[in-house]
Amino acid sequence: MGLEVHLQLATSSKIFSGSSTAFGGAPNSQACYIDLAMPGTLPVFNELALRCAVMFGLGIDAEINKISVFDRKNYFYPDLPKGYQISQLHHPIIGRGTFDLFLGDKTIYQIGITRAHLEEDAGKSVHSHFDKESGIDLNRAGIPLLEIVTDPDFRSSAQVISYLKALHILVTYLGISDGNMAEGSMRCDVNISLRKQGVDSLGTRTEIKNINSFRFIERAISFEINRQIDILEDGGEIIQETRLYDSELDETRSMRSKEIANDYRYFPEPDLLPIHITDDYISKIRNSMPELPLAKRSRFIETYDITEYDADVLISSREIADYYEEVVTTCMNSKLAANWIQTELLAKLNKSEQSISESPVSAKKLGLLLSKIVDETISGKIAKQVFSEIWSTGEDPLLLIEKRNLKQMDDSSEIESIVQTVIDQNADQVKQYLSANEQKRKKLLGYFVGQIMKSSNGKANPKAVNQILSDKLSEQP
Amino acid sequence: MPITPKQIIQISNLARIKIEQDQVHLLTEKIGEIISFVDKFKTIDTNEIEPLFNPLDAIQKLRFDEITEIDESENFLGIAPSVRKNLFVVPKVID
Repeated sequence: MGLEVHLQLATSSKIFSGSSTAFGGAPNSQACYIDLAMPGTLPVFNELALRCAVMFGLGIDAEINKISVFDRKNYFYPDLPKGYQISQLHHPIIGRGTFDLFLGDKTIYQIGITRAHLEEDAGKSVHSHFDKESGIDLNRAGIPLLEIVTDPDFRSSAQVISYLKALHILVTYLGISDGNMAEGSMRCDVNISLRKQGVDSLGTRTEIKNINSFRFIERAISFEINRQIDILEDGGEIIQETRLYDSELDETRSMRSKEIANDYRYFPEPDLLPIHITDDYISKIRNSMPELPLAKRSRFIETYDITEYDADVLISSREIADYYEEVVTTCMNSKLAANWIQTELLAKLNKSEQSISESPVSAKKLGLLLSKIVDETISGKIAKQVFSEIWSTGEDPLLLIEKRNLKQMDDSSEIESIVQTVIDQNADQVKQYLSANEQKRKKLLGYFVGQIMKSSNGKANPKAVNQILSDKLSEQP
Repeated sequence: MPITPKQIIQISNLARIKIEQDQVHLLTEKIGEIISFVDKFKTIDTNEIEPLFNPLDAIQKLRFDEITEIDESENFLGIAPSVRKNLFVVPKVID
């Protein structure tokens, strides 16, 4: 399988005009005379779209072509006012590169990036509310896209999904796209072909267009693979065609339009001059690049001594990574911070459908709370109570610990008296303990500790409790 | 023959230019002549020559990313033959 991903670049105006690219505007309110192909208009290229493309090229260590050229891709369709799409065929902005995938088993799987080129999006056809007609909204016409094309290197839908996820992380780190699949900022076409085991050359491919969620991608791929297997096993032939995935029927089917021999009669766009990129321009962009996800991943594993799994979760967005690092600097315990962010914070955010930037508990507050576990002022159990309280009240964790008198009991005389009371109240169990074997003793110890923690409201320092308890029990006659 | 009648029909379809059946032969001949004329370029030795992307010796000027256009949809929709719900209405598009 090979992929073509259309990525909407994070510009505020269109690639060749000054219309807004904002999502959700009233139909046709963001389409100017250039987007509508009025006679006499000329496109002017948006510098930010160029910068985004170069950043992507640097991000995957690809060739960046110093000269690149726009071409016209000609076809007639109602959502394409000019009768051609401005794209790049022979001289794309980004040439060959590679994309490293970690597939969870510590091996790196490399995906070849064939190319990435700039182009404009087309408009949108609206079919609902129309019977024998269609409505056209040209707000999307002229939205800047980077089409990222891979080699046919994927062997499973799991690889496809992990590539798309990693790509999503990369482009959001770079800030070149919001990667929002639901709003069409990241769309994916999958080219699928089969080959018999042991055969080198791939069979005829079909292309599945415009699938816009991870779940649908997986389903569309498995449907299409099975469809092709059935045809081939029945001795049939695969027709090279474009197919559309229907998520309601969970099937792919042939697209009837656009199919008459994909002959786009490309030629160089005469309205736009070639783009020249200088080394200076590239090195300025290189110097402004943020730390990339994979670099961050290795740094986290090395500096913070956390597992690969933890690192993958923590780098999954720049916001989570930044949050984590702030918590670590405050509490000075990288593993504790990693655990808490995953099991407490992200779980809670997930439940309330909030992103980490909307978290009611700031990184600073969580860091301070954890620092109190680190210095043994409170136990992990108490910390969880404090966490859920500051989650809803926004209170300062240190003040809350003070106010509620949640500090761990370190005073040994206080603990001693509780331990003594528990021993006195459980004379039977103490007898059993004294006559029991090693294994049974452990169980009974657990019982005593439980009782002691209960009567201290969970505040007794467990280390001190264990020490005092075993001393006291050994003193028993 | 530099171009076949079948190709002429295919190109006219792609370009949405309607040609009558009795014109196909004439067009094949005329366009064939043009292609033969242009094909003379192929005999020129271009081994040492850098490809030219554009006849103008200039590079693309870039635009700063800012919104400069306002909503003029009323004007644009006003000159369209058919409009509903702020959409341009066209014959049914089937995908």
